[in-house]
Amino acid sequence: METVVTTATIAAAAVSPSPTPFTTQHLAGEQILSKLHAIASSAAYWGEKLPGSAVVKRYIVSSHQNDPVRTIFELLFFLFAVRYFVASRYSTSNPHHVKFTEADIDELVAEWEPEPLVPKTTVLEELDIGSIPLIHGESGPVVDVESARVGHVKRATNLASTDFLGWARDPVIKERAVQIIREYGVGSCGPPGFYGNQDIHVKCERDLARFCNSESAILYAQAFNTMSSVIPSFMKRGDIVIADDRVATSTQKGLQVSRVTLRWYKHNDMEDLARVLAKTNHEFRKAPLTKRFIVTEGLFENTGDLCNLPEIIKLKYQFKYRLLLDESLSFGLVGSTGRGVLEHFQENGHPELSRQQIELTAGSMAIAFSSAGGFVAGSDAAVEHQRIGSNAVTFSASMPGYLAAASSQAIERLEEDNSRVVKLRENTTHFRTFLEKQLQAARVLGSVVEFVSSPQSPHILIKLSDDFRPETLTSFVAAEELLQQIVDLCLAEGVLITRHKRVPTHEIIALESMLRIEVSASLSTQQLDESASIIAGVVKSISSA
Amino acid sequence: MACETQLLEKEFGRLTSPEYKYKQKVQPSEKIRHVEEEEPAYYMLLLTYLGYLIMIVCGHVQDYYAKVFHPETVADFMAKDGYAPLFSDFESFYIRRLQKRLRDCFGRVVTGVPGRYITVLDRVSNDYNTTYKYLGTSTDCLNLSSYNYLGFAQSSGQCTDAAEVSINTEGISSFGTRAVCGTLDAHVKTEKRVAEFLGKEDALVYSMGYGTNASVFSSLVDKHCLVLSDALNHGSIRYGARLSGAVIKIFKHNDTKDLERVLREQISQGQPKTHRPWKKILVAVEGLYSMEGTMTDLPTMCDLRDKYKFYLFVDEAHSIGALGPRGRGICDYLAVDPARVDILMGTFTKSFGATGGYIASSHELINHLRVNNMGNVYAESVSPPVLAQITAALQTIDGEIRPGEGEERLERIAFNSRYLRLALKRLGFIVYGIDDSPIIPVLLYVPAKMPEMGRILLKMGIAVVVVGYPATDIASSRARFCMSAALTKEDLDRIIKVMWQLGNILSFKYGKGMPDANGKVRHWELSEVLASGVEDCKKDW
Repeated sequence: METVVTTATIAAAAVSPSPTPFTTQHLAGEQILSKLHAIASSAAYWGEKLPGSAVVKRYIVSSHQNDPVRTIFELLFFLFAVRYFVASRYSTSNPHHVKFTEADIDELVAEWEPEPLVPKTTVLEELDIGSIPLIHGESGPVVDVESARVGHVKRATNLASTDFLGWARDPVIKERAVQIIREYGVGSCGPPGFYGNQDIHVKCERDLARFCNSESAILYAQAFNTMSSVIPSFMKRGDIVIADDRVATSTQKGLQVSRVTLRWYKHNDMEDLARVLAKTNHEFRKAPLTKRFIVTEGLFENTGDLCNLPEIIKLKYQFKYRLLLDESLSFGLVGSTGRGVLEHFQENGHPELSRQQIELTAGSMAIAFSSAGGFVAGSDAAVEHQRIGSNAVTFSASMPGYLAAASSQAIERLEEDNSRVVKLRENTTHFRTFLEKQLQAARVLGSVVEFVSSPQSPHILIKLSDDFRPETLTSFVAAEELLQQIVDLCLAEGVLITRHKRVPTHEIIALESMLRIEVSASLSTQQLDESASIIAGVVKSISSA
Repeated sequence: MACETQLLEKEFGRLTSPEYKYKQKVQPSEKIRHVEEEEPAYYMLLLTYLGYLIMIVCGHVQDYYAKVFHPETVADFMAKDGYAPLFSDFESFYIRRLQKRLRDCFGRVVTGVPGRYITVLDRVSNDYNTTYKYLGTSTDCLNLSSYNYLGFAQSSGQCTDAAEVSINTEGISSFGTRAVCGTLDAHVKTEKRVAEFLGKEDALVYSMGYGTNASVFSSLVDKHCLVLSDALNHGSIRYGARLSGAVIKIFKHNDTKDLERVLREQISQGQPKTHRPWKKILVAVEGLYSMEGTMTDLPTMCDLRDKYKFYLFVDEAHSIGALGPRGRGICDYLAVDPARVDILMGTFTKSFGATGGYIASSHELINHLRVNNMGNVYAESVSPPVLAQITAALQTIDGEIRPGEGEERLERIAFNSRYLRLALKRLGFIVYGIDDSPIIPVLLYVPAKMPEMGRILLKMGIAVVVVGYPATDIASSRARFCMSAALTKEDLDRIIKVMWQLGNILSFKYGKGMPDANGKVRHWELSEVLASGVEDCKKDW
């Protein structure tokens, strides 16, 4: 306090027109010196009492060396260090920062007008909103549908649902679900780490691992968040990923959020993959060794064809990459017992392939296993890593027990008896051949529409042919509108199909407009034939209109 | 019959006295703004850091030893044959050397309904938590770990009946995404109900709560927008905001002054480099913070929203159903018009015993999400029994079915939360959060106390979550009690007694205690706490 007074006195003295300024200043100066001396000696007294003070003292004395410049230099250095550590983290020292007064800021705040939270509805969005079908009651092979554009259709054959194996309305699975709800309730009420890990989840994980022939598996509460979470849990900034350029949205999002060094290869083009691998390895030959992954899909949702797994596995070993395979769509649909694209190739000339050659396999339980959620299968170490390292596992409640139990049951039944898979294959072959014939008979195959998906895929994608370019078909939206007309006309005649609906703003990859038809094992030959005829008829009527 | 009653009691305890209820009051903003967080003695923090330091040093010594003498045990994180390790030793260090020491406190396998009691399967580890051997027996523990605020996790009753009916009439899956062919009547009905409950125009339900936040930001903001996020926001918000590509700035937890500072700075500076004005600013906060028990100062937030024209996103994962005189969450509790919050988000996992999440907002915004949101266009739709559970729970809260029961559940959780919190504070524990919060975190600080606490409580038949870094900041490990309407006052007394004992054994009564009748702040005796707790917890303190 006294020191402050003294300083104030000096300041006052400096400005006051005192007749004897010298004396006052002189006195004040002496006062300061004596004060400083007192402070220094008391500091020295207390300083000596502190442990380790001898070391500090020795340092100061030796650094002083009767050289005040050097001491000042050291002092400045010390102050700089203090300032550096104390300085605000929110430093505004970036060169683009503009200094404003509070009044300026008030004005800028008053001036600022944000854009509306919801952007104006686009034409495509309007089309999408209008074309969401509403199903009354239960989903299944035949449904009661209402659509804003078509009206109420009491009985429509369902060729839009992902229930490929026909689990909908299965009484045994329903009975199991009821039993579990009566034992466990509906929700699990917690994340797996915090008492949300029920024995039915553990069982389901074991069943999945056994089904995939892997060491372990881990459940995710939602299929869509599986790929987008497992990717960032293993692949970080600096890691290298080579991905197929037609992977599904979930994978794209995972790659985007992980900030890896990303290279695309042309869809299913193995020469291009080899070229990209070689080029990337060359590019990073001097960089420190980081994780390298190939990311691809088993049966592609966006193209309806299979990846060339044997070739990918060969290349992965050749270039020392790991493989993350998304089998969300291929489990249940591909392979004679539904064990996915791996089984398909094992049965078709590559018996040497095994699940152990694929480091991580992701899958969905919402498609082949009748319930909901996703999973990742892999080695024990890889699975354990995700229990803490994967966001969608750690930060989310585990899936409801009855859904895990329903999946377990679907898996057990698939293991016992593959008739559903066989039926699906028969239905697919029959429907695809019949639809092709009908479209040919209607003279629209090739000239108006063409198949995108491969003949064996129950997930059928059809696009407008490149030759079919009527005047009205000028844009992506116009193509979507045209396809929606086909969908609507089919529904009016009792067949529920859909467009391959995408949100263009969320897709890294531009996609063509496509129709999507899903074949199910639960449909009869008659239902399939009727549907195929209706679809062909509608396409013909559209092309001639 | 007796057996059945016993089972019911195990899931949801009967109310033992009409005294053990409390109707929450609408709170003014000041009441929640300055929640004082007690600090422990300075040496406790030093000890905490020292604890971590010792573990880190030991871990590195162990790693070094393993690399030299047992390379096979560390093969997973060593480069091999030109492959980088799947996870580097640095990345996995925390998990291997620190978290593994208390891994037995996490991921315990349970069975049955996570109601008033939870059944934990007994296990032992003979290899330092690398693997577990299940003994085939189980222990019923008093459940303060599950998010079962209103006690709707039950294997019987109106919700479970509704779920069973829905399995038979609507199936367990709709086999498709909402946009393609997965929209059932049940979805539309539930969404209408949720919107009404929240006082919003429209709502959208999702099959995963985490997924709701993970996808919604991408439909609302882009790289020309700014997201201002509370420092302690949940991982899903952070993930979603990052995915949207927007610029993200953090403000101090629950500090509206700091938010205002950042807002003024950002609005005046505009976008980095270009200095163009931001297209939109979205402020994301949580209603009730899951690890802190603190609540966002919503009235002040809304005032700031009016002044600075940002959009407000409130995540009510833990507050919906659990807070407010009518269970309608933070808007209800603080008497804020829901119209002043642009987007209300929440989950059905916690208060409704179901799963999944929702977004409630204007018609316009929900319609936009219906076709633009990834969680709606690409993800599987909500399973019908979950919808039935949600609807039945909402009807119960509103008193439409079983009149009186919903109200009782709300009053019981309000009483239970206040009763346990007051008792723990009086015993001298440091407890974070507001008085009415059903999340009651008791601070342990020293990391070694986490596993001890977790294990002793399990032995005594109480299931509690212990959390530390990285879920909390490094110095503030804690045990978290999640309150439930299913618990009785006698259950809470049992916990209080156990905690009193534990506090003495593990010495973590770091707090000052509470003022007694003479106004003297001190640690209370157990008998004093039990004697006057019921009356006192209903007073304002």
